[in-house]
Amino acid sequence: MVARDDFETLGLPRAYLLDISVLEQRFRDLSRSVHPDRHASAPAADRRLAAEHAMALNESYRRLRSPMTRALSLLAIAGRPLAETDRAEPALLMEIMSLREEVESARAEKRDTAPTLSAVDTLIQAKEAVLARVFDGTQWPVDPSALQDAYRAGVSLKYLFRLQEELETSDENL
Amino acid sequence: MGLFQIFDPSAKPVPIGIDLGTTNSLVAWVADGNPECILDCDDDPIVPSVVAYLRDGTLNVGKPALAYLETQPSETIVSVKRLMGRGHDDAQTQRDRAYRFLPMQEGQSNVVRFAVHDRAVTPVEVSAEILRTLKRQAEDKLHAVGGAVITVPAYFDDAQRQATRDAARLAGIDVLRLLNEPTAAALAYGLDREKTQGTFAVFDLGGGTFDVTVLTLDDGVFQVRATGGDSQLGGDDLDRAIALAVLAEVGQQDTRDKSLWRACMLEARKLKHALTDADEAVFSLDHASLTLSRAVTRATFDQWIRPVVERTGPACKRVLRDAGIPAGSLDGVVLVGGSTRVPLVRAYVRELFGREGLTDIDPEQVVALGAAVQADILAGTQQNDALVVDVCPLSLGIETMGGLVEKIIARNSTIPCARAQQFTTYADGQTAFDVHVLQGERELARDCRSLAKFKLSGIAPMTAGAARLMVTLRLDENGMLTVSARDEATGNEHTVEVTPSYGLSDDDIEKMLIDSYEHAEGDIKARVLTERSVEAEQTLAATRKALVSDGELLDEDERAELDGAMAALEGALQERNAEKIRMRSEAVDRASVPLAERRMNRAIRDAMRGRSVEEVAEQVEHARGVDAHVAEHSARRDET
Repeated sequence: MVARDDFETLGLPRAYLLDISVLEQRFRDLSRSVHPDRHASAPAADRRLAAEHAMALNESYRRLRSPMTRALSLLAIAGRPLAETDRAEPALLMEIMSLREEVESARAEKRDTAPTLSAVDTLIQAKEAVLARVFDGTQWPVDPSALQDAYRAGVSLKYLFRLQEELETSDENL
Repeated sequence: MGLFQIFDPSAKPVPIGIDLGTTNSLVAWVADGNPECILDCDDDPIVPSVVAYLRDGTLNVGKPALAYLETQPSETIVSVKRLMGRGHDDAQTQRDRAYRFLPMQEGQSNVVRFAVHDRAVTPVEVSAEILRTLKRQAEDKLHAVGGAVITVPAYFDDAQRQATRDAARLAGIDVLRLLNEPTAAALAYGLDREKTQGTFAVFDLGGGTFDVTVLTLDDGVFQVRATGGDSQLGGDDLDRAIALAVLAEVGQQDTRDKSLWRACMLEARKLKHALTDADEAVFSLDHASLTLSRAVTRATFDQWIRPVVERTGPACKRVLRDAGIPAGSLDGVVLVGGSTRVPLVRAYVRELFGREGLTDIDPEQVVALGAAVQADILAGTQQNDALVVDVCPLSLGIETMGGLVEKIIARNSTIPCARAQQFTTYADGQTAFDVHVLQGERELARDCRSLAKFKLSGIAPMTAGAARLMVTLRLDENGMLTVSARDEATGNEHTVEVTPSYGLSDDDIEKMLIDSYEHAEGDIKARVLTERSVEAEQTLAATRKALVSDGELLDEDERAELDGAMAALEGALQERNAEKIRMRSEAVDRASVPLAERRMNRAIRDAMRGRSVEEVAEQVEHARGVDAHVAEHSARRDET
């Protein structure tokens, strides 16, 4: 099987900003071709191949659907994959810590947590803008210094998305 | 349906859909494009999921078995679905008051064993009896029955799915697919797809299981976005709550009297049915050890069952969150399962989703009807091009150091899917590695469902941490798991011997099959030959069909090789040599790989060429609404 990147699998241009509806539509169009059910009465070789293609399609769809895994996918394609051990810059770590404390104290004092949550959102959007600038509509291979910017934005987003998820889910559990 | 049917002995076997329910089971087929349930001799589609084992070794299934509920409660098995894929030591098993269970013997598989008279039966065997009855009912009408789609609760774990497959195998049913019940219901609803577009929730409260699924219907594709539920919650629990409340009122706390408990549960169910329409009904018990008559108002009844009904709430909220769709953005809520007839359940659904549930199709038949539609699609008998894209209900992971679970496949991942995880050795010279596969959302291994344990062995001895072992978990389109492992250093594929934590082993099933064949046809060799011949015929037919439509994709040599392999297989079929048939089927399979690859590549190219990205985007603009709320999160960022 030809190894393809997530964007090739879905037949989409490589880009960070993605219209999810277009992705969904593409996913459904391709599922119509490769899903094993479409080959239920075909020879066994067809069925095996369909299963492999469907698994690859589903995995690429999953990665492109969520902003974080989409960023990881782009960085990997560009040759600068994120490692488990990558740490954010100290300044960002401090900022994240204070935002977390801010939300906790707001909750303890029954104040509105919305301003802090939107501060997190603003930080995320700034990092996302970097990824979009580097990857969207660009010439591949990506310019090395721009790629370094994207890489740093990617590392930051890993922390910021985690923080956002934490804050949102704990809000629901209150 | 005509007044009479002419029996055609050469008629093709008809695919069927089976709803193997906790309380009731049904079988359906597709007649001229429309699914319909197959009725019994009393024109009733419902077969109660009850099996009575009689002293003389015979048994009764369905309505005839109901007569034994009170007279021999321990040998009349109801709601067996709740014990499918469960161990003898499960809390659920212990809670069941009506039966006698046999303890697990050394070396036996961890499954429930009912003691009925002088023998032991497992839930798989009990379910197989229900399936046999349904198959016979279908055969009476259709004469030749083909493969079957059997529905399972979406929230069934791997052991429960495997148990259902095993039951079908014992019953001699060729399973085309295990289909999730809410997805089946959506398929029945979405048939008329000119009208049905959008995102829907399916709320399925059956006799013993609860599922809630959010899915998008778009141009014939049924894409499940998220599913959740409780595989131990249903109408049975409503009955139990009523029975316990009534018994508590008369100071009767002891529920060990099996016969009295059965009588109470039956009366509770009658009361529940009566209060679906009436505002007041009477719970009257006339049992040897207790006689009582109590008028119950709807308000009192609601109070008794409310805690059970409210157990559906958290799963609904979680599924909406997982799907990323607020309740207000849904285009409809479909009600499935007999328990959704209860007024309080409907009111609670209204409270949760802010809208009235849809009940256009009989909630008790809709799952079987949808299963029949899927069977029809998979058998390729009709030109129905609907496609179901489903997800796995529970996360799959592997136990790591300290009893924690590392999630490999997240819940609500689209299936089929495969994900790999790399492991390494922790001791110098280590040549084997234990892997424990778990299913569930909790962080600790002991809180998740154990699926299987296996040992990876034959690793070349190296220093600690040097070996790289890639373990791949694969979920097929039935939502069932297979595990494979590879030594990245040597490229060796490891044989993975999986010992299921629950359920019957292959040997158990084989033995049960042999036992049942002893009574019927006897010779195993003959059975193997028949099975292989049928498979080979299917291979030949499918390959011929592929060659007719796409033969030009092969060059002369490839064509000659495939033709040769097919001719050789035909020869083996005439010789009736099972081993030769197997080998030559494999040769046909190998020779058909180039054709398969080119067919697949062309299909993908066509799908991509069909619409450019701009066209897709344009079409999406027109059809906003379906995905708008899904996209909201990202779209909001797109604008900035």
